[in-house]
Amino acid sequence: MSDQSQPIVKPQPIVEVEDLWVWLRKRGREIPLVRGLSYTLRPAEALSIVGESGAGKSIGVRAALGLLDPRLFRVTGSSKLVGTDVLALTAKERARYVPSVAALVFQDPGRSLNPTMRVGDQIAEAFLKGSGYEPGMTRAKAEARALQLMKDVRIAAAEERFKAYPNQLSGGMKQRVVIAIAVACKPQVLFCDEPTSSLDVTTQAAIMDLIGELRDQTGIATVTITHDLALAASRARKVIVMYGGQVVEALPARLVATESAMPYTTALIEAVPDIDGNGTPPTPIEGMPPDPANLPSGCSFHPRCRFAQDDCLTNTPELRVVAPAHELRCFHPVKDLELQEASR
Amino acid sequence: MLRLILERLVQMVIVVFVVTLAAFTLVNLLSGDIAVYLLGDHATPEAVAALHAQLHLDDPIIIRYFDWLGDVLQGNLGTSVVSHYPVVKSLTNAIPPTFELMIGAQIVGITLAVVTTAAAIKWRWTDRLVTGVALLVNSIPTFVVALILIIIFSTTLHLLPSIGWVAPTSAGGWGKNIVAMIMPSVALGLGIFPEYMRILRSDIREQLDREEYVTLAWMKGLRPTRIFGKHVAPNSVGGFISMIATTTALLISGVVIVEQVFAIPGIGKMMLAAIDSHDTPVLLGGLLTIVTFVVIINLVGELIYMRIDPRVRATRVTA
Repeated sequence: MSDQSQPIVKPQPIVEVEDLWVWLRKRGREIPLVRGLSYTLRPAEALSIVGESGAGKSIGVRAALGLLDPRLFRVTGSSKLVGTDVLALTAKERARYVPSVAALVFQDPGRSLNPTMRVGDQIAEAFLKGSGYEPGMTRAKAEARALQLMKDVRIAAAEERFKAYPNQLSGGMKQRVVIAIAVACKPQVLFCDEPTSSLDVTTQAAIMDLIGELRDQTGIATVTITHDLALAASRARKVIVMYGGQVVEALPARLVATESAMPYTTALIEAVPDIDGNGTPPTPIEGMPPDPANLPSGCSFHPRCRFAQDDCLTNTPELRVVAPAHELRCFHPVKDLELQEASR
Repeated sequence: MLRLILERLVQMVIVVFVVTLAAFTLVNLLSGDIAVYLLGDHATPEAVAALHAQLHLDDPIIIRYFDWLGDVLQGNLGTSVVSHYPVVKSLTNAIPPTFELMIGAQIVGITLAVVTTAAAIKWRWTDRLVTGVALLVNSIPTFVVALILIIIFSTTLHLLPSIGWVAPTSAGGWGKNIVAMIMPSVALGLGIFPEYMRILRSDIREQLDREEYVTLAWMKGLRPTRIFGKHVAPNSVGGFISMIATTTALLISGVVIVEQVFAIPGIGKMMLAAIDSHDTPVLLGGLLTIVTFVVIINLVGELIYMRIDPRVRATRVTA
């Protein structure tokens, strides 16, 4: 007996986030911050999650890693990391399991390192006491590996820097140390929460290159949160655009510039200087992101949408597939409107 | 590091100078005449005048201050004008009880603060409970706390002695000495623990809630005890250590009260008696001891803080 049809075996997904909802508990109320986030990631894949501040990007990632304090947040849905739903684990199990499969790089490297501990020790700690531990590990071995990692993430004068405290390093250096710590834990997926927003532009590119190299060399998957659509499109394979706690568009990165159809995504493109290459000046998006405690009726984006029509105020759009690997939450995608206008 | 110590020593000299000058002036501005106090109400004006001359009481305050300072610089703190007993000897008798009382109070205060902070961080209902209790305790004056303790543990339960200081060299030894010190230490320690808890709790909370390195430590897969001991605690105790140092200075006023209530022959009681009898040398000797002690404690606190936190080290050493 054999299976008649065995299609090309796709590698098992490393991340499967399914209908993830996050509510903030506040004075007896529950405010929805993330509303039904889903995505799947396979080894060596790169996903970018894009959106303005408050779109639920960071909270969504922290929820997926089981990092949110249950006293402050209620989380539903599932988040399978390498096959295990971390939301179904107890706090104790989660504290052992999540670090063994996932790592996190933070937005502000100035706050993500322990100020009272030498950076070399902070990396070595992952080998000695953390998920980078292997039987037979000694302090000397851990330190040697930590030093090698510092060289791998291209920290110059690593031997000297090994003994430095975080306050003696630049922002870019600190972020490299954080990445070294992440790598030391041998994760299968690396979550990066705006890893370059607090760094200058040249350092940004270097850090993104470093993360890309790690992916190519080790085959880990990466999820990068950013508010920079150009960065997202150039560094990832798949892009998810979030607005008001929801995915409003998901599409392959190479199609972002040409195929984006949700008015919010196109507005983001226009807000980025010159991503479409035609030299038009950037156009800011009018208005403010929605208040999660007081969401607009219908489509959350309608108050700021140039193409909003009556049905956008009353009916709530669902995420629908419009092309292979391209999903959209909009009644009046931009392309349709342009076609309509052209046909008139 | 050495520069900092030297800097602080210079500061200490200035502080000691200013404080003793101020105290000297204030004591001499107090109403009442030491000569009348010493000779009694029926002293003849001639006798009073003679004593004034003998004690140089008619010299300007500033001259008398520098006379005293000159003696102090030669290591002579003078003798009590009341008992003619050398001030240095009174001090060597008064320092051990006060020192022990302050250590005891700090042990009680720190222990209570650590335990209640642990409870405050663990669960929400224990947080409410201990912050409520701390507020309540904080609003009761030290002497009332001392009296309540005496009523409960001495006069009602007969568990602890209400009075006195037992020298560890006496028959009872250290056992009796420590038993006698329990209630005074608790009375004083209860007064300082709420502030300790407040700062420790908010500093730890801040690390836990706001600092990403705690999350990074968790993401490294470290055990909770290691996360707390190696990452949260060293970054939370700075304010606490500074506060222990500064509280030592504030504790002095509590010491005066507690020594009075429990009849402990310490510096507080000695100085209070000296104020009563206008005994300037004794008062200033006690003050000199306390000021020196406070400055040294603050320096030690600062050095410990620097040892723990490299950021502080960077700013203070270059400054």
